[in-house]
Amino acid sequence: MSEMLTFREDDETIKKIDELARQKMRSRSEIVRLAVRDYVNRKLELIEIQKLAAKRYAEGKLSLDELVDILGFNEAKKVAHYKDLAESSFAQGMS
Amino acid sequence: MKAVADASALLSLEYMGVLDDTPGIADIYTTGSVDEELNEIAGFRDEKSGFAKKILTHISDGKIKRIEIKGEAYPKNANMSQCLVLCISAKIPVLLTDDADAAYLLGRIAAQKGIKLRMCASVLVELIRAGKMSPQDAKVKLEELIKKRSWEGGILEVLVRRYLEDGEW
Repeated sequence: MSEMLTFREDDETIKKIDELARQKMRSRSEIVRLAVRDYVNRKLELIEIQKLAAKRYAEGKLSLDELVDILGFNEAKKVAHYKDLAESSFAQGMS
Repeated sequence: MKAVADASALLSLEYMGVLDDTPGIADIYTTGSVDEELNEIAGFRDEKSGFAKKILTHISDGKIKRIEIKGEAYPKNANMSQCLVLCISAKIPVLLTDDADAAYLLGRIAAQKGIKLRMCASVLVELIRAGKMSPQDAKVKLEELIKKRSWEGGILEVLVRRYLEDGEW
């Protein structure tokens, strides 16, 4: 079962899509379909990895350094900040 | 007790069905930009829109106090910045948010200004302290929230277990 999606894209990206379609001998729709599928799958996999790493960090099973290795510095800092925020919310309430 | 709440926190509180009880433990304030964001959400045709409409009713009833920040222009996606400005200008010491990204971006400046960032879970903690909710009920409500917001398997789930189940509370 499939559903039709309509979207707008700028001229430059459309040109790139068409160029790739020519090189790969695929239709424009097929290129867009593959790109969307690939992006969504990768993103969802990444979110699952991030969630798992964050959970293990919150459980004390991963150190901050290990979290940085897995997620990169910025994402790890964000997770650590979120954990601190959540912990203070439980431990201190609104005070 | 006073707190400013952004849209993410208000939605979480309404999802858990505790927004009605919140004025009993704290005066909740919000900004015009949050009101606008909720109006936008209320225009969609999904479950979230119904929650947004209920929150807007609380704002129009005055249960949640709306304060305009005058003379400031903000980018559309910086509603939490406006909440932070409200905290600073009205000397309200707590900013409720469940928006992890915004909290991360503004965490340092909030700390510098002496504003405490708290998640909606902190409201449940206050309801427990006030004897208006049991830890068990709070756990059930937070678990429902985690499901509704697709936060399963994350940090909040670990902390709910630690604080409300394993006895750290």
